[in-house]
Amino acid sequence: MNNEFDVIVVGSGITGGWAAKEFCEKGFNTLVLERGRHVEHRGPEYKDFEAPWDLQNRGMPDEALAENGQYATLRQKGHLYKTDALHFFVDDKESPYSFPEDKPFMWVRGHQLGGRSLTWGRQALRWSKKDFQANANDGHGIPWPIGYEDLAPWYSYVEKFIGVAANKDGLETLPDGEFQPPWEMSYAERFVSDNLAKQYKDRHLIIGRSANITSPTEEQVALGRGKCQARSYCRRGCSFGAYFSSQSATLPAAQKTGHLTIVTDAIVERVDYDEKNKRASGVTVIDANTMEKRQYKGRAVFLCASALGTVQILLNSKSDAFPHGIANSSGALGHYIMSHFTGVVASADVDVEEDKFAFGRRPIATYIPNYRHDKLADADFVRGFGFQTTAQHRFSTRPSAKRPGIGIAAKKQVGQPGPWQFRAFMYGEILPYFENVAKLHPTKKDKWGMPLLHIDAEVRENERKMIKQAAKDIKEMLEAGGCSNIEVSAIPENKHIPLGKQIHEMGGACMGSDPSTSVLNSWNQAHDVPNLFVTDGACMASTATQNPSLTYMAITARAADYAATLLKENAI
Amino acid sequence: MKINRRVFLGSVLYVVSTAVLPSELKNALKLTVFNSDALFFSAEQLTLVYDIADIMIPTTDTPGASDSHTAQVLDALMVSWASSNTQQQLTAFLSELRDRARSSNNKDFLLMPREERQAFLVEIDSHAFEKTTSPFLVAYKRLKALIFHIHYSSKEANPDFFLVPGGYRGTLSLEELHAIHKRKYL
Repeated sequence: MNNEFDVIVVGSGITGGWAAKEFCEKGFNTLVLERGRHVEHRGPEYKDFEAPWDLQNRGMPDEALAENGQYATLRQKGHLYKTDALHFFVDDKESPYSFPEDKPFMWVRGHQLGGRSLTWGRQALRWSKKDFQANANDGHGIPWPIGYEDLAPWYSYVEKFIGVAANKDGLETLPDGEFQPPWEMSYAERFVSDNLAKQYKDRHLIIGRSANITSPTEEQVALGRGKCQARSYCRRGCSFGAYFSSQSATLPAAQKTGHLTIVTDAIVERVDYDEKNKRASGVTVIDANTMEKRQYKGRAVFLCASALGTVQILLNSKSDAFPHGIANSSGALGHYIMSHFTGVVASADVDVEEDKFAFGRRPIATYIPNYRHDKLADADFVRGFGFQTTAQHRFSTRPSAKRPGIGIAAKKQVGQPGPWQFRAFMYGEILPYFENVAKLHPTKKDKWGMPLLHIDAEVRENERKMIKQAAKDIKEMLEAGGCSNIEVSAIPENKHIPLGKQIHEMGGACMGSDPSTSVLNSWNQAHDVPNLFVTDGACMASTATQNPSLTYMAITARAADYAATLLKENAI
Repeated sequence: MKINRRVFLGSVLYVVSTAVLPSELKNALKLTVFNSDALFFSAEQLTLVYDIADIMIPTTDTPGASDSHTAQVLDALMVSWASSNTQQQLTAFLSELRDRARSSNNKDFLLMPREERQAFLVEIDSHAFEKTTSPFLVAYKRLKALIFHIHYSSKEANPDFFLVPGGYRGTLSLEELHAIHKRKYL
């Protein structure tokens, strides 16, 4: 096989797929390297047509896995630890990472073609002007070198392609985009939303913005994608191609051009650096099965290996010019590790009057966007939080083996229509702390010889204060929303909050205007190495409160467009 | 191991009558007796598990644990899913259950009339959720959790389940909901 390409893209997930599509459609021979195995779209690994009774072991993972200490991180996630999609997540016993004993970090990964785009939450939210201005305004972290205006056209570009079902809510804090018809709110969600609108001008309960298509475009149909069937089995893979993943959309689009080469089971060990030309010359990979090393050459390298995966590769790419990792003249590489955090969970009954019901499994939740960008009078913290919420179904009384009762009487209690129950999960913005850092472990290596990534990150005082306020706010909002039996649970101050739990890890190779304090410039191009780009979560200078994937995709498409121009001009 | 149709049907075939107990006695006890060993459980153990599941989730106007073949599925899960600890925990529980029945009722659990067996389990159930570290009660809760999970994730217990709903509607009257269920698609 030819080992020389125009562009090498490391990773085949949500950003790798976009980089591949953009470069292939612009005529560049593009290599996508995926460290995991090949997964066939609509192949046998998709379990979306299995009813609960068809799932392997009724959904329960083999107990031997836990006994052997496998999937430790995923087991803590609970709801993801099921046989319907376990094979799309990494067993951290096989691919270990490291963290201080008293500060566990949850690094949930997906090592397969398509990466975590197969299992992502599909909430596709734009950032607002205020989100990009936050670092500059309050002085935390590295000021963003781009603003909303830079990204807005790329948001539109991405939204049209992936398909986002959403309502145009007209909120400054959550800009509208190119939307397909939204999912509808339940009767109870509408009730709460209407009540909140009567009470507040700044707090809104809206339907989530979902990358599940509701009205397929010609382009989407041509890629074999169909309308979402409201099964909500997305993380099992979707045979309808109804939710966006690189497998359903970007990789097939790239494949159509004839310019795409995909190599799976190829673990990128390092970005190779040509000291003479001061350019990345390509990458060295380790074959995941044979352990053999080989090299690929490329005119440009795009790292899209997930935030922490990319940081690990960069740190491991040492040379005389970059003894502490490639593109790390600033010393910022590995720093400012961030993640959304949940410190408050709330539930309540919605006191609607009419006897209404819902049908189907809507693939997206409702959402209360951040309303605390500007420091309000009651706040003793900076930044803010939003809430992921839902009351999509009216709960029937469910069987519970966890309380007393057997026989006919207990059985009769099952399946009785219950109230609509509203649940809310805080999503907070962590500040970008230089001290939250990922490093290569000095001694421990994985079975492929890669030094383990050691992640030392935690929430601090500002986030703890946010949690207190979020607990007050959600109680007040649920009361205003017309709810009763409100229960609010906040994580105590002395309890560690494991970052990474929301699977929104970011930072480590932040964008910034100043090469002495940041790794990437405004085009996601390494300050130190002009043909090296990072467009996954590692590039983020802050987290905002919105789910980040749409922003990653827009940033990737924008960076690829810029890099393509440089390649055409032979400027890199 | 997946609980495939073959394994499942294989388990069902173990349901045979008599041999162990005279049919009159069996009928009087309202007991379904298995007289061949299953994949994991012995014939006696499977008889016991089947009976416990049937008492916990009896057939009424809706299917019960016997209709969803809960005991047979659990038998298969003991091979395909359970760790050796769980295997030992449940077999020890079954053994102790019979010991306790003999001790308190002077009869083997399987030779007690249905009403007595039920009362015996209700008594255990009423203590199982108190704060306890009793291995017997902990094992009881485990078995109950498995029986509930298997039954309530079964096809029989979910007649209104839609693999492909076709869409979502959030504000429906009961009549509209029933109409959708009847036509089996949105």
